[in-house]
Amino acid sequence: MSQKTYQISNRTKGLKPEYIAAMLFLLPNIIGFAIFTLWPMIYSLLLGFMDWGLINQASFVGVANYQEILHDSIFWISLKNTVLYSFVKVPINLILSLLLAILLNKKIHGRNFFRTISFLPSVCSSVSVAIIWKPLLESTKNGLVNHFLSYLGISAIPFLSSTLWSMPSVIGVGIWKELGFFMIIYLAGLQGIPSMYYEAAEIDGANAKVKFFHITLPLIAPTTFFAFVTSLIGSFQIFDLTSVLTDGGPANSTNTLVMYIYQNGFKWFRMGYASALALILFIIIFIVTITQNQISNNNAY
Amino acid sequence: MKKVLCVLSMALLFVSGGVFANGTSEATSEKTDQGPITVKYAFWGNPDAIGVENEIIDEFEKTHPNIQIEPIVSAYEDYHEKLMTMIAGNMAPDVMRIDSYNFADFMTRGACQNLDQYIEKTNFDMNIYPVAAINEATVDGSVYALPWATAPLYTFLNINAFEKAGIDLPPLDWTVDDFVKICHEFKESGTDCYGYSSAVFIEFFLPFIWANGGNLLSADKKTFTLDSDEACKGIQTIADLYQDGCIPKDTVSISEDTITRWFTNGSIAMRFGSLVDVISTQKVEGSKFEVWTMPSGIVKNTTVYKSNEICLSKDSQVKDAAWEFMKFLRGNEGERLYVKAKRISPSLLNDDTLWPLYLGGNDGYPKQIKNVTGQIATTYGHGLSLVKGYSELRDSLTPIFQKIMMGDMTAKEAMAQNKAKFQNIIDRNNK
Repeated sequence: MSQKTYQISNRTKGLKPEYIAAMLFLLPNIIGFAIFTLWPMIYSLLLGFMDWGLINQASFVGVANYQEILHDSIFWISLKNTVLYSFVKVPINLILSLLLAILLNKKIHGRNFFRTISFLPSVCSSVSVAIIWKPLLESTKNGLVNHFLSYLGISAIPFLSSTLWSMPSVIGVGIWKELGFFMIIYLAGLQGIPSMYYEAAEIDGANAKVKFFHITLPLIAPTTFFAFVTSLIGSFQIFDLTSVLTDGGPANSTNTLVMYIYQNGFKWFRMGYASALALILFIIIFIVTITQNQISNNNAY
Repeated sequence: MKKVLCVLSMALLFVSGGVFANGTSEATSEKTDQGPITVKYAFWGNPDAIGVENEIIDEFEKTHPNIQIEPIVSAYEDYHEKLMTMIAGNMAPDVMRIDSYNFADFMTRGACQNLDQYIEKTNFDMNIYPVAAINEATVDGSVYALPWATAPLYTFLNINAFEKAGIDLPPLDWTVDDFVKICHEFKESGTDCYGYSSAVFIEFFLPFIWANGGNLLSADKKTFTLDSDEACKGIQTIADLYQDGCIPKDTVSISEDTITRWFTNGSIAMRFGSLVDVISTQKVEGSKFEVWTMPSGIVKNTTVYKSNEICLSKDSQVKDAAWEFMKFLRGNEGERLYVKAKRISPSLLNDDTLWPLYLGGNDGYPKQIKNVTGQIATTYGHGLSLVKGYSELRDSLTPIFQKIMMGDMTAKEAMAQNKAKFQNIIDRNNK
């Protein structure tokens, strides 16, 4: 034993060969991360202090971009829209996904078929989903949704042409697209709950409601946390859906932060300003994630 | 050991950096001493448009075997963004088509080569182009592009819809009052057809603004003037029609392809559009439509008349070869091929055979296109106030117009509220 200890302590003076091998294997990934993620992030941070039209020379402007952001009404509108989309869509999405997962966790006929068709929208690209839904939501006679609503005696709803309805429509389409994905996540979580808890609860006379709130919900909390964080981060970056469905309109009612960054950077030759906006988005997402982490750690089961 | 690790890491970093950096050394196309010179040509188009570009390239290469043209094509919607990133990445095409809306932005940022020396050296005759087209491509007395597809934006009249509603087609010198009256007639006709719809862009409001004597910018293009009473009256005309139900509600958030669908399926009787929309509409069987002037008022010339630009990249390594291609593309040879394929309407002034070639003995719709285009060029046409920052101005105006149309505020209120913002865009881009 002491000889082994002596041998080990001798070796700690230099790096073990296996550590070197591990570093060498990790190096390509680290290099890729440094070149394609870290450096662009640093460069974007620097660009936030520049005025750059992408195809001309950049010039240093200090904090002028950030000062302009504070007074930019479109920035505040797009931030509000992004927050609204994220904090309305995510909880509804998770609740519906959980309910669907509970339903499809039961032994019913055609369960696999229903699981498949529930998951199908999530494998489609957001662009194709938006292209499909755009004519469906028309408020003219051509719109299928309004056509069906007319059978129920409901007059045509301007889903995409009203500032009141446009964001709920985008949220609805977003939920439709992602429902299946989070249903699968929850299914995995549900199937990880040991059945003995439910059996014990049944013996104690618990009904379905009690079992759901006191067994199911607490035990899938980690799954919920993962789904919430993932969905929230993705929702803050919403772009393709609004871009194709409404192009940020009408009247900027569905203009999101990432859309506004894209407009400034790639349509209006203002890459410096877009970089400043991107940094703000990064900080917001970072704060939200840290906050969620803290809440999750404090509510450990 | 630590030193070995550091050395190994540095070595790998340098090697990787060398591998990745190698990609940036390829600027534009390479000039080779042996073999043909490759000229990269960027343009936008749908599948039909690409066909004629390939024909032109083939014809050019037959007469210029030492020059090979490499096409770079993408859809119009993201074309300029792609072009911008290519230029930023030192991969600018040698010859590039740029929409006039974006031309000033690209040119003032150094993307386009001054063509004066090439024009002079090769005695290229610029007088084959309409004066308005040359003016759009000229900045501070120097020519930076050759015009392409100089043509109006037309009013499209759906003849099927007019016949079904029993409404007569308007005369060429129709007014805004005639336009409003027709829209109301369609609303009351009971045919389920709206009078008008078009995407919410400034170009489709300008005829109504010009008709009242207003404009987007002042004569020196330094002052935002949409807040004038004349301009606001023009904008409010469209907004009132929308609120009266003469324009479909979805117009505020619609795209061009939906407008084409509505027009061809009889949902709308009138729309504004370009030649590309003429081709799309002709493809639909049974389409009976005409292209027309835009309604006028106290100002007679209210029909938008614009070009797109073919530019030589300042970063091109093969400028002489690229210029040869540009001359072919925008000279009589290229024009004939474009016109024969009906990709663009005739715009060169030195060839009387172009219109018969365009029409091709075909008496299909639109039957009046030659007459209307000629009248617009001489009498009814109006150029755009194109400046650096025009695309930002254009995109920023769209949500304001949408608010006005939906009745959230009047045109006067909206313009007064936003004048400072738009003036800031103009000042920032033109300082």
